[in-house]
Amino acid sequence: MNEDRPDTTGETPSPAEMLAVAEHQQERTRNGLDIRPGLLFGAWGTAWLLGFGELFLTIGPAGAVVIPLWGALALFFACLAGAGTITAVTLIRVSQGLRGPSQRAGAMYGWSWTIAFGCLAVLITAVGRLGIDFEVYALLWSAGSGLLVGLLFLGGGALSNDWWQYCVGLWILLINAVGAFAGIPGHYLVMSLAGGGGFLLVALVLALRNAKRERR
Amino acid sequence: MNTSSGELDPVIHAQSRLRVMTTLATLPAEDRMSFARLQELLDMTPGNLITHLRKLDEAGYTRSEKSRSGRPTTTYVGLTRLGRAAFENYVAQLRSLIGPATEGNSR
Repeated sequence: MNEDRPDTTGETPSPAEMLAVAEHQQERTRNGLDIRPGLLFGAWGTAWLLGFGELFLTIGPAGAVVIPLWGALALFFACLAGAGTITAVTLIRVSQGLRGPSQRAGAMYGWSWTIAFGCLAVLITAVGRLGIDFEVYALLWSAGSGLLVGLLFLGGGALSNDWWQYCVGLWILLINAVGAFAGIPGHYLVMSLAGGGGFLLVALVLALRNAKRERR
Repeated sequence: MNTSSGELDPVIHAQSRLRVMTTLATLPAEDRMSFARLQELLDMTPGNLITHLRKLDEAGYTRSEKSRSGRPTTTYVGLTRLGRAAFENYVAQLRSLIGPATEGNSR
């Protein structure tokens, strides 16, 4: 049996060399398993900034740009779909070939987003049957979504001991609730600038921190 | 397993196996990684990786399991509790051998 040959060519590596081997491999594995939250915050920040910004400009009696409602909504969902695709591709790539408790926890968390928004849709449909006008309907959707996003970030951050995620959740909850007083389309502007802008700010901070770590 | 003996664990004290152990130890406890993903993160040939995994499996440090689902059966590898302890012990031994002077570098 000479299976150790590739490792022991020449002299036995020193403890320092072996430690360097371990540290290098650990860094490489961490890189491979890193979901790059900065990138994801950046993607969602851009989507919210553009998507909600576009809704603010096109919806409502004082809409600055006149396009049909379906067009405005299509543009909005295209922005979200773009960020969603980046998120899905990243998560699939990172979690490829992994199994175990963390993967199950991640899947449960992922599904909680789908389930939460599905239930919100049902709830708003039920309220809609009572006869509400367009503005109420629109505000229920945007403020209801904001509440879910904020709560899911808050819960995700709390359980994974991720301070950034927790703070983002807190921020979204606050601006969403207070911003609801702006009505429609004002709430869209709040979600665009404070919400999307908030995501982008976190993305920037995380990117800078990453760059600093890599420079070391 | 005992730090006091000063003898480095021969199962881990080989670059390739140290790299395998390190990669698996980076995962949270009880998580496993497919053979293909492990190979990708290590840049090892399948034959090479199989040889090292066999040795680690025999020592009880890793556990390789074939998944029943999926047509081409995938092998998932994870550290056992013993393996994680042995790895942590090994790294601690390395650090103590290098001495406290260089410990600050790792921070």
